[in-house]
Parts: sequence; structure tokens; C-alpha cells
Amino acid sequence: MSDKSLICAIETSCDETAIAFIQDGNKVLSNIVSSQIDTHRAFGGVMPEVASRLHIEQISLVLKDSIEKAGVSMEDVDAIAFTQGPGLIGSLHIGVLASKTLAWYYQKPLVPVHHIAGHIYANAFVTNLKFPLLALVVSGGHTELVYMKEDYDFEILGTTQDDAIGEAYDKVARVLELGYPGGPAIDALAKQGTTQYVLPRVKTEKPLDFSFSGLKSAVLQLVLKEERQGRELNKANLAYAFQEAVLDEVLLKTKKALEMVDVRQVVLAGGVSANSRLRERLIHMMDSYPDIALSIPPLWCTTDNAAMIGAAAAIAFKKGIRADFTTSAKAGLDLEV
Amino acid sequence: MKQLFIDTAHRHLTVACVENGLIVSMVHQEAFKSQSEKVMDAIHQCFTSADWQPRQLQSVILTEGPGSYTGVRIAMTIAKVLASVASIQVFTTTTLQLIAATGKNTFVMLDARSSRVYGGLVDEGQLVQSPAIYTIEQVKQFKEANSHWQFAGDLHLLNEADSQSDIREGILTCIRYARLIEDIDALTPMYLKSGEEYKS
Ligand SMILES: [Zn+2]
Repeated sequence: MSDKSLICAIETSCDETAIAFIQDGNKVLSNIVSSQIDTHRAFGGVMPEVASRLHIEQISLVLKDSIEKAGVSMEDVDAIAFTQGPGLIGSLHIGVLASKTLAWYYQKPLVPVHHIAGHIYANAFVTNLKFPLLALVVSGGHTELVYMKEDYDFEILGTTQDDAIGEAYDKVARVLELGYPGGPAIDALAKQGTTQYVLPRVKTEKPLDFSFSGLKSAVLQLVLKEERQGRELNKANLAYAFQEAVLDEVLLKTKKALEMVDVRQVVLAGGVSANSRLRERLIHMMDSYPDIALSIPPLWCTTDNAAMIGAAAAIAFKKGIRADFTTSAKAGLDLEV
Repeated sequence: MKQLFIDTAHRHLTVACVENGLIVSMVHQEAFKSQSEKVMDAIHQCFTSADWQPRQLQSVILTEGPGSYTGVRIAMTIAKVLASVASIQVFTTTTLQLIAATGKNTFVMLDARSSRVYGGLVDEGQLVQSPAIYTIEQVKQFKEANSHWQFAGDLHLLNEADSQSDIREGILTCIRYARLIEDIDALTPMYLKSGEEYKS
């Protein structure tokens, strides 16, 4: 089968209502994202029912906008792709139903996509993925090391035992009163910080798993201790200590994974891949692996969007992966099949 | 005029193809929390047995609620998407009218959990007042105070047998009094409960 395809992709797994049209797997014809961030900022996090309500208010606007920007006719689309999971169930439902409706009306095939596959394939917009590869997926909902022996073949080597990395950033940002979302705020503040505080190293049972809740508690303990002893907290230095500790953990596990699997490429993926210090440290670390290519997704494709779902769907479509009208959204969908 | 009727707001899934005041095909089933998986197949099935093509569809009539927080969004997502890509008119009605059909002074109550109901009085197909959330106690008081009212819907909440409504009559009644939606983007479900009530 040829690599030519025109995919309409819909992503509503969390708090972005997003629809994109992707040609041949890596050309973005349109990529509309309606973010709910301002609403959720007021609540200090994403509230599932509120998110679902905003999706239904946005879906028709985003759809019309995306079709118009793409300059395509729905008739010419080869497949309708959607994020099946994981994510917030009420939010996922909207995207899944919107996709089924289009598939029914235009009699097009439906392609289900795992949200993490989308994040990984965001790299297809900047590089030709080289297999086998190791993906480091870091986001508000995920922290995973994924081994891909070949295209669209996923094996999870390690995952978080508690909080996702982005959640840890959000929680620590709340302790430091930096607002929501926490990642960019901590990243920015840490730049003004230096080594003053020491946070404990993380321990996990399995060598490639992650854990962040201990680190988060340690930050809270430290804040309380400084308060008790009447010392003024240096927030920048604490942000620095936290960020370095989190990234130590992430990079150490990535290194360990590279000892266990032979790969041609390491790809970074997920919302936290926008973190400037993570990019800097990962590039530096990969200097010691001259035979392994490194791909970092473009900034526009780090947070949730539908273009990345379309990029993954182009491969899934070629592989014959299909959904039907009874396919349901799955809040806890597995990446491995 | 080829019309599609959809109600997913409550325990049932009701889909019908309607033409010139006649129900051509219909799916009506118990589908608690599974409307999302069943609705497209039901629509496909209705169109197939009506021998209609999707592109022949001219209007969608949906219930905007009141109802469960997820269910109420299902029919609306379908209607919004169709109206975005094709010149399909969208009309809304309520699940209360679907259940009351043409009954006189019928108070319809639908389980809203926590000993509450989504309720409203419907008279010969038209809402007498805006639907609201009532406690079971309030419904019992309505019942005592209004002997000429009929009660329909989730009557098991009053320890009575649930009412059996004439769904075909209900659909046609809903279509008769449905409201044309001018701005499809601004259409939102009739939740009655605030989003913050679902704080977990
Ligand atoms: Zn994501």
C-alpha cells in the first residue's frame, strides 16, 4: 500500500478539543486546538465534568475551523482517526462519537489511536523514525519508557508507580504557590535557582519504573521545616532542586533502559518534553551515545493536539487497524496489544 | 422531509427515522451507560431498515435533557457534528416530553440520584414550566396537592411500578413541538446540575 493518506484526526482525551487533517503521515494541513486551560486554572486542575462540558461547547467550532483551514473536502478523507484512550472518559466520549458520526455520514473507515502512540509519533513531523527505538514519554498523565521494535509495535519497559511527572510538577507548583499548570512555572523559576536544598533520591522496585510521590512529599516536608525554623524559603532554589531531582530520575532510568535494549533512536514525547532543562540535559546525555539518534518533538507538538494522533493514525491505517461503531472510549486503554 | 430523532439523555436509547409525521423505523432499548457504544449502530440500523442514505438526512431532532451528565452529551455531539458538515437542521426537545407524549397534566420524573429527580409538568406535549431538580419528598407533596396530575417516568422512586409510555406517540409529539436551533455552536445540554457538583 502506498504511503499516501489523508487523515482527519480527533483528540479529546483531556482538556483540549482538537481536530487536525494530516496528509501522508507528516504534513499538517490544519491543526486546531481549543484549550480549556483558563477554566481549569481557576480550579487549580482539570475537573472531569467541567472538561466534558467544554468539549461539547467546542466540538462544532473546532471541526468547522479545521476543515476550512485544511482546505479539504470530507469526501477526500481516507480515514477518521480518534483517541480511544487513555484519558477522561467523559471527554473521550465526545471525540469518539464525533468520529463515529463522521465515519457514518461519509462512510469512511475508523482508526482508533492510543494517546501515547500519538505523542511518540509527534516526532514524525521532524524526523524519520528509526527502529528499534526507545521513547521517553513524559506528560501530565504519563511517564513511560516505551520500546518499539518496529513501526506501531509498543512494549512498555517502565512506568510510574504513582504520580505522572507532570502531576508531580503541578503538585509542587501548588506548594510553592506558582499556579497551574506547574511545569512551565517551575522550569522558569528553576533557571534563577542554584544548589541549596537537597532532596532524597527515588527508589523503585523495578529498575525502569519511576516514582515521584516521595519527591513531592519531600518538597512539602522541606517547606514545613523551613517554616518551623523561621527561615525564609528560597523558592527558586527549591524549584531548582526539585527539577534536578525529577530529571535525574528520568534520565537515570532512560540510561538504564539503553543498557537493556539496542536501539537506533531515542525519541522524547509528551507535554513535559517542552521542559527546557529536560531538553538540555537529554541532549547532553545523548552525547555519550554517538550511534543513537535523538529526536525531540517540535514545541508545537509537545502538548495534546490532534496532529500527533493523525501522524500515528497514518501508520495504524496502513497496518489495517480499525474501529467500528461499537468501539468504546477506554479511560485505561493499554498501549501494548 | 427525512428526520432523525435521537434521545440518549436517560436510561434508554431511542433512535427513529421519521418522514412526514410517520415513524419509518425505530430502535428503542434499555441502554444504561452504554448509549455511547450503541447509538451509531442503532442509527445505522434505522437508516438501513428505512432504506435511507446518510446524505438524505435533512434534520435531527434531539432531546437536550434533562439527564445524566454523559448521556445528555451523546445525541448532542452527533447533531453538532452533522450540522457542522452538512446543511442539516437541528431541533431540540426534552426527554420529559418524550415520556409524557400527549398525556394531560403529566408530571414526568427521571432519576437524578441522591433521592432527587429531574422533573417537569407536561400538558398535551408541551412543557408547562421549565424542568427542574426536585427531591422525592417534593414530588410526593405535588402528588398529594394535585390529584388531577398523572405521574410518569421513574415511578419506582415512589415505590410504584415504572410507567410504560407510548414511545411512538412520544417521538411524534416531541417533533411537533421541537425548537429550531439557530446557532448550533451555542447549543448546550440541559444539565440542571452544575459541573462542580461532580468534583471528585
Ligand atoms: Zn498527552
